[in-house]
Amino acid sequence: MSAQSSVRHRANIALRDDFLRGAVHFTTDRLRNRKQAVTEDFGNWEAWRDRGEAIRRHTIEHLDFYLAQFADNLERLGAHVHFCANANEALAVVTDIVRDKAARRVVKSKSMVTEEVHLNHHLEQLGVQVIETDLGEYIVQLAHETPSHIIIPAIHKTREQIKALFEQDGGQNLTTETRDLVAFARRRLREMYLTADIGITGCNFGIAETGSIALFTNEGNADLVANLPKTHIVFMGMERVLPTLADLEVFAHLLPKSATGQNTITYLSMITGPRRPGDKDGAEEMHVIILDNGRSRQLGDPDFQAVLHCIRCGACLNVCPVYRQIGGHAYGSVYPGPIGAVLSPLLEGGEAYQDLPYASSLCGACYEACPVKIPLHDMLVKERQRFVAKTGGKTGEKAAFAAYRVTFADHRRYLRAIRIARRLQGAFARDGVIQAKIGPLAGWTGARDFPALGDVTFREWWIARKRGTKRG
Amino acid sequence: MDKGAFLANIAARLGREPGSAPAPRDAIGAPAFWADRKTTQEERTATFCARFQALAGEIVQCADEDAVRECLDRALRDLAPGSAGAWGRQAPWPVDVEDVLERWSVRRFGESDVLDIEVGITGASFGVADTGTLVVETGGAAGRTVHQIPLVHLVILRESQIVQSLGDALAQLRGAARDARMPAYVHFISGPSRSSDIENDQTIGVHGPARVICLLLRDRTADVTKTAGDLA
Ligand code: SF4
Repeated sequence: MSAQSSVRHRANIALRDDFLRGAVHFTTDRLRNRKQAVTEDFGNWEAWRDRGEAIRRHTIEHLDFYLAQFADNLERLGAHVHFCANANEALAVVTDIVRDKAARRVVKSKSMVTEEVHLNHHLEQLGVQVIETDLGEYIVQLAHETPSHIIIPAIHKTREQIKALFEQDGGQNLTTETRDLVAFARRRLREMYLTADIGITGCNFGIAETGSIALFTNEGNADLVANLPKTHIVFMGMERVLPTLADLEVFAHLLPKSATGQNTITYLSMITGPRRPGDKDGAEEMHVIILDNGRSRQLGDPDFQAVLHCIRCGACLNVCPVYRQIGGHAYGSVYPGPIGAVLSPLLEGGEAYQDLPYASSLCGACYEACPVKIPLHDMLVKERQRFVAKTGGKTGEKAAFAAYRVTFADHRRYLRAIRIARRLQGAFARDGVIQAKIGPLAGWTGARDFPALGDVTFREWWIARKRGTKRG
Repeated sequence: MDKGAFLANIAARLGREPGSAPAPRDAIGAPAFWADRKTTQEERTATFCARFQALAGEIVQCADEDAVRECLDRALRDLAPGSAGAWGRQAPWPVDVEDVLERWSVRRFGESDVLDIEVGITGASFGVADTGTLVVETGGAAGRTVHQIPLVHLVILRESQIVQSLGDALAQLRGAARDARMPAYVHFISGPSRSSDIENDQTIGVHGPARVICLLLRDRTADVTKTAGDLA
């Protein structure tokens, strides 16, 4: 099954697949409700968001300084730091390391940046076996698919499907009990950690003042990936730095609370360079790959610089009425949901993903959910405007934007417009997706579809929900 | 791409003199209402225990050092692991448990292989009340694999090591970093390894330990009120 056919196929069936739709609804509801409970219990949530935004804004405004400090500290500790302008440069660095180590097997923990550069495909072409160790990513990899949610990648898989996948991977006498399935994965992946030549992790935050890599995980796989193989490679987007350890406290609250409604992440690992003289375990060699890949283009742009404040928590996905209808795959981009709709066309530049900003009802729920207050809904509008300005815009689109300006000034008009749009799109939408043509990313996939507006808008859903829960 | 060119491009985009230091900022770390809280050791300990247990961590309260040794002995008898491992003798143990480790022929990190142990025994540097977190600093005889490999992690902690906030613990780590003593690997652990990747079904022990048992020595002598400011 090729990636192309599977993605297209899935986009088409996303709304017919009852399990997928149920799973996405159930999961996003659960994450959102837990987030609400945990932030209420924590208190002063708005003050924490303000602080998070202030720190991210300051960091990005002085990114050259903090990135230099971060890299200098890492180099002083004996790590190799590689600055890469694009995916090809990053992959070339990996190729050199793989050849140098004559590596045959690589274990990985979850990293969206490695998805962004299509690292796994590259490693396989080099003849290297790549094993994803995050349970959800491992499941998705066995199924030859891509993640459908940035926090819960296998949100779309049933336990029966998972059992079948594990059996293909050598599992015997398995049941569909979670405990059984997890025990198999633990055993199987242990063999992999212990025999891998290289471990590859992402990086949630790089701490400039110490040169530390902070990793947030619940399973503990990143620690085994980073520490058991002799060589550790870290992939990070260039925006992922924080000035000080003190700043990390703020994000150690904002990230898990926003992502999964957990008061704290189970494991926060701080890796500060390769093993020291006298240390008897841990990677001997550490490489840190710092990737630009379209990010620096957003710097100095008053409309979009703040997209680099993102901490990849996924909270905007969980509240997005469009994402909730169709799940992550239909976006066709590495980053799904509202953040994906904003980020993908920005990172890619050119024509690719220009339709993604239209995969939104502009309801603003994403902004409300965002722990660092990124105005995603404003950015979506500005992306549409720039696209139209660049292409001259068709007459219909110009009219739409004129109408748009009036419509969004008033929320009743907005509600009416959404209802009308839903009726109008009936002519174009089939099975809940609007057939649209979007440019491919680096040969990964071909055409895919765009989500139609949901049957219920977020606002309508929210009001109904409030009524439904007003029991006391 | 060359580091200089990479950073120069960023500075140019931002309209900055490359590498120039930022003006001092006010918003560093947690907001004042959080960082300036005054709490007693008793309160910190109570919060730590409640939070840690809420995350499915287990706490065994020990009145004195002998009780810590007895509890460790009992834990090893009850768990009856096929193999157990512990930090080496030179590691910063909060309580001396050498006798017990010897009696149970526990493998010592640095002397024998610990890659297949079922129970791992370590100390910790801090407990964090706000999040129910154990902070384990590693290095030298305090190997990182000792607590990552096994199914059960037994951790020894003194009550006086419990701080209020992550910021308090980070401030002390930062002090160490200034003298270039920050360890290569520090682990903040809040309960057992967990995942809900299979149909949202919460499960423990996916890659890391399925049980984290904290042997807590109640060594509080007086009610000391501390804040992050005092610790920095
Ligand atoms: S845009 Fe905000 S809510 Fe969305 S993933 Fe990024 S930080 Fe989280």
